[in-house]
Amino acid sequence: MRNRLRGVFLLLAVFALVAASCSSDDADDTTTTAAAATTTTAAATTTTAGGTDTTAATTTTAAEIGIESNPDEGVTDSAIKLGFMGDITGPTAATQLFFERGISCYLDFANSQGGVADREFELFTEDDAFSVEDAVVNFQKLVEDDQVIAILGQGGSHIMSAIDVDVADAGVPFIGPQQTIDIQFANPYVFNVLAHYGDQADVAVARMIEDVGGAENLVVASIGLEVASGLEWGVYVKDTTEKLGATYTEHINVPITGTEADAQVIRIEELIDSDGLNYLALHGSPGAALRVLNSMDAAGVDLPIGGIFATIAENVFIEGPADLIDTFWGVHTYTPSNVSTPGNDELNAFVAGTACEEFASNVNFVGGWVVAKLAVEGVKRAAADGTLGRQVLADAIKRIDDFDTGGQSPALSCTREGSHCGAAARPYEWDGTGLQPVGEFADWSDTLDLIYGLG
Amino acid sequence: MEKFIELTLSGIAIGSVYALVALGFVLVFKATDVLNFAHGEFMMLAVFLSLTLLVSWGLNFIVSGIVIAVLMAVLGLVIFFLVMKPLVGQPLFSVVLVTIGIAIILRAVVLITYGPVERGRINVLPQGRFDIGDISVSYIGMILFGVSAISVLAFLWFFNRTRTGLRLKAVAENLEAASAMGISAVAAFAISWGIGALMAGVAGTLYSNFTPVIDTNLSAIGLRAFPAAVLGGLNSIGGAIVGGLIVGIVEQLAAGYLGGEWRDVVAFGLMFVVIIVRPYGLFGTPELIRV
Repeated sequence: MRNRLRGVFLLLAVFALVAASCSSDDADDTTTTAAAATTTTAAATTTTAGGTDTTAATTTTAAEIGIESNPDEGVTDSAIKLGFMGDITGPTAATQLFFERGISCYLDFANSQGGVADREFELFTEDDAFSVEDAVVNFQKLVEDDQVIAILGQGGSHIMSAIDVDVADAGVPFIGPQQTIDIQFANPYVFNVLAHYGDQADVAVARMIEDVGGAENLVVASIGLEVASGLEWGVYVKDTTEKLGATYTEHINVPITGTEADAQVIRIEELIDSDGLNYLALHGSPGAALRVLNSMDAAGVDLPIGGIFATIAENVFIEGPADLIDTFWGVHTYTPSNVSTPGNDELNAFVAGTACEEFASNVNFVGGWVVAKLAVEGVKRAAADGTLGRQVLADAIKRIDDFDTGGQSPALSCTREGSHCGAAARPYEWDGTGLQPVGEFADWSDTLDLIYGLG
Repeated sequence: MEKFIELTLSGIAIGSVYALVALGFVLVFKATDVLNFAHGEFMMLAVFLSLTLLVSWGLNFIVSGIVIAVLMAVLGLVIFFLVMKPLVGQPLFSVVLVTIGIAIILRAVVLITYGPVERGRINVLPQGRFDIGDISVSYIGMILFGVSAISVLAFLWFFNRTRTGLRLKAVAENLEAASAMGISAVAAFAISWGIGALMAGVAGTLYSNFTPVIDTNLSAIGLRAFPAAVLGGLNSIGGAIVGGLIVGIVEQLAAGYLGGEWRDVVAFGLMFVVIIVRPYGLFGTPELIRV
């Protein structure tokens, strides 16, 4: 009897797991919307100060109507297939999940506008849980099995380094990775949207100098997760600090396997006493930011902190210690949706009352939205030339210049060297309810040293 | 000197949690010969349950701790009867793989239930600091140490003074002899799993007020408890406690003096050295096999 009961339990468990994986497949692997696939012209075209179209699929040209299917490269009779690869369930899911939702929701929006070339966008999402091994397999699956036309997103410099050669070999456009590292500039199929860490460091240090009233007053240390990008951040902060005549003390590592940062905070206290440390430049995920901020708070250490883009997620400001949050700010390329801009107004109007709404307040959601907007613009331009395929799409994106995202990011110019479409950043501060930009992107462009593809 | 003392105190606080987790880990191993690689996930689950009971439901800390400890004990029993009991006598490798599977499922359940967004520390217990001379001491660190010490003493009392505890001890020492004396091995195994999970529940409840961030990465505590258990001796209850404290202190001193990147290197390096010199750990006893 007991064996039978156990059998029933096991059977139920198996059913539950199968059901869960099926529903997960439905939710994650493919996202489509019910938008009509027959529209040949679309809704209104919004023109902004920049003079460039900011809506998704706005005008379908005569050439697009006759686009031939190219199923091996993501273009079927009814769909244009795009892929997303990233960490949906792993240690950086709190950042990357929102990015994926932003992409998915923008494609819903584009489909609601009629799609492109008589076709809807379909998104294939693959979760790597921040694992290189999983990511390599996911990349092959998206390229060879799902046969997508392009891949969007992807967070993790270690993963990008591992698949860089495969991306070039496959010739598949890789749009808007969630980090911009040097290796990506040399790959003709990678289109970078986020500002390079070096540029983010430039803006961050400039803001710190402004805060303390001059370079001679700034004594800064960098602190970050013990990963390659964390060490890079330390190097960039050091370079910029010293170039501008301020004082850099040292880089402090926070182990990725640790759960607190007590020893690191004791070191910070030492630097305050010995070197007059008066600013921290923080690298890491939202979780790492909370770890450092709460450990500092527990030790009673109060110091202003400027963070890299990934540290300024909404939950850090809500869950972090009030005393330190007051003087914590970060640098980012994307404008959070609580800031009214033409692009964000369009976003908020679309997500209201939909499943997208609960994700939209996170700045990474806007990041995904902007990256998908760039991809759709590329598809539109390729289709306008009368054909769709991976190489055609890559060529089309390379021609995109001064593309206005409606204030959700700096104007995107993929004609720049290294296809560095975004390339700018500005500081953001928390006002108690949301992140607010400190000035315009242009206000901070003078601080960039023009090393990383700007100019 | 001041820095050394502060790092040591910080190490004692975190080491107390390692000790509690290692204790559960060792108990299950000692009684059942199973290396439970899901033990860190047990603790992580308890931290998330604290989030629900302490923050969302606003329960009193002690009530919440008791509820979580009971829930975790029940979870331990359920896992034993549904999953582990059928595997008694199966190859060690299969059993270990199953515990890894349990860990993956627990992480997935927490992720689905609570989502991926990190939460900050729970501030139900006092978070301030007090000074002793030039040394700054945190209340929560001392509470962590005190409650852990009381839990360990209660555990030792149960293990050495109660009839059930003595039966568990007998099964752990010599399964055949204990069975011949009429002690149910299955009951002893089940109780070991229940108490092991309960200890993880106590550790999780305490740690939820200490950890600066609550996310699924907290299961990494299981990875810290492993060297603690091995260091002290996988079959030594007292060794688990001392091992936990040693790992906590050594980690903090390494991170404080050599840099964060040395934290794991020194902790695991120490474990290697001890294994080479004393393969059964500092306080473990070698298993004698008569042929």
